[in-house]
Amino acid sequence: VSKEIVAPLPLLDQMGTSAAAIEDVYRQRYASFRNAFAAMTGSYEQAHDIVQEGFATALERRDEFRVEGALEGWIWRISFRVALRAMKRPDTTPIDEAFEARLPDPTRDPVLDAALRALPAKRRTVAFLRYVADLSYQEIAEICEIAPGTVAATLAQARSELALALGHPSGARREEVVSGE
Amino acid sequence: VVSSQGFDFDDLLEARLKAAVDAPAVPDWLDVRRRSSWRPTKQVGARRLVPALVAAAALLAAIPALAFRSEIIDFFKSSPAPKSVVVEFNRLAVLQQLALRNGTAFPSGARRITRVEVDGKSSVLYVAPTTGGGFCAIWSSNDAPSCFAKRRTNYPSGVGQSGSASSPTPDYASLGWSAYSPQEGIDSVEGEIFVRGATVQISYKDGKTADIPYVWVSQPIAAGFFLYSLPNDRRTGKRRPVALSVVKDGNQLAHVTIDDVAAETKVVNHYDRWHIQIQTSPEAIWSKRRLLYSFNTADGRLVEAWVMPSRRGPTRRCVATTYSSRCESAVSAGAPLDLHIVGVYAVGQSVLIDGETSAAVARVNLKFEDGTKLTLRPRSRLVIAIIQPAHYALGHRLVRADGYDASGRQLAATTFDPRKRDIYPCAKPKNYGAGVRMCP
Repeated sequence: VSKEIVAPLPLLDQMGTSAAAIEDVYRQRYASFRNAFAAMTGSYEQAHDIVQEGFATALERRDEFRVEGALEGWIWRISFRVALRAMKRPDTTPIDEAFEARLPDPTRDPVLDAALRALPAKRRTVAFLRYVADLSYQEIAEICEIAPGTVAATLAQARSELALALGHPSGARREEVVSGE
Repeated sequence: VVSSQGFDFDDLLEARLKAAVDAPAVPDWLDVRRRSSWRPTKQVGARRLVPALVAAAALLAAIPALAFRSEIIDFFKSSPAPKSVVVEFNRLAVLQQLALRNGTAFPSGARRITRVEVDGKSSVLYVAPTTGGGFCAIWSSNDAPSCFAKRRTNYPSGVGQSGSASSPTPDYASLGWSAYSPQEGIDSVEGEIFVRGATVQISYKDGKTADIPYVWVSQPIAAGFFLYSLPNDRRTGKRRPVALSVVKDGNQLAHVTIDDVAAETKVVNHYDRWHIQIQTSPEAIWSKRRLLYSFNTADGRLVEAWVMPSRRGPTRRCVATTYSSRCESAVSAGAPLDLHIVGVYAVGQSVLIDGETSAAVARVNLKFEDGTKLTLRPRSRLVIAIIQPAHYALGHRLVRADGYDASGRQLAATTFDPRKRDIYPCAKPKNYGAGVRMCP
């Protein structure tokens, strides 16, 4: 009986704790989730709905989660799947190609909006995940299912192009170097 | 080259992007719980007790009126609980000490009592005795443990809504119900019985009753336990449960009525001017709302509050805020102050005072531990204000509110316990042991 119980039964430890941990992530990171998905979908309302559904799905499937350290990343991945469904994209669509990330309200910063729109979709998505969602290179890599090095390179390209478009000195110096190569 | 100045631009870009995307945010964990199909409990049945009946689980679900003979479990012959459960009980012990201040501690003698299996998921009952003669019990599928010190009922806070026993004497039983998704009705009933040989009955709105099976655990626990998940067609409407009772020899030892939570918690979604979802009772007439408060907290959260009439007549009114809503009768002149501290998490890291006064209250004076005073003037009998971070620390907290009429006559006073934990934010939660961390 003990063997039968002990194997599937870290229920209290893993399921119960994970429920509390999921709630912790929600309470601490709701705004980042909501804002990031608002950028992905263009709608705060839809973003809220995706976040709610994402966390609800995480709760339902919490017994499938095993690695505590990656809990937030796991919830992001679930939420992105929810977002794919909400946007009527196939589940297999790579995350970094699935969304046309943008400012939900372009009038709040038209210059930034224009600079972002000039970026390829993949760079925009990675930029939003880094700067709005506050995700690490590793987390972005896991969500987008690409190598961390690819994330770093994509982000460097995005940063460079945005610096140039926004008139920041680092963008100008980059241009000088590029033109001098 | 980019990296030499990229760090500055990184910060600038991050700040600019965040400023362009950020908007008032209203997290709603309860809504997440409602959306989740996860349930704290599922169907009845103790496989070790009545193996033959488990195979007929579907039949049991469909015919809850079947009665089962209670089974007796020898506590000391039960399997020791796994370490994770002992850890959980230790955590409960700390919480119970903090809540009851009775010094009760739990030995590491937790036992696995029985298991319920429904829809492919297990719910295991673990029980541990306490040094004070009580016990603590938890179903592994349920976030709400029950702890009893010397057989006195005690309901640690659960999630969602839950009922509590109104037993003639709490020494006989502790009965409760839960509705994790209130709009879907009562999902389960559970309880503990302290009288051997008693019968647990559930009564339904349509007049039918059923006996609920339970497992009796021997000394030192000497209590019976049940967990019964209601069939879907028995959760709401005219077939919903209305009461739980414990009966022995024709005497009703304990009784609890079960609320019609589906009707009471039905909500209507509205969207305010910031597209924030506001939920109210159907009773609230949203189209006739009046905005009374609108301000931002120190951490940038928007707080807005409206009052609106109730469809149930002029004796009631509804209040909706960006963090909660309610409909209730006007605060009576006999108890003119109904104020509460809204702790952290409801509105980010900010603490609010929120409540209502009678019409006669013209001002409310707040007094803090450090002698500071603050005067608030109710707007349409509603009081909402931020408690400033300077009053978060012990020694500076809110301790009292006094209500005065227009002539300066004191009408009422409310006191607040400044030592209540997890109300005010803190930089570093205190470790109370066994993984329990709370802001003091």
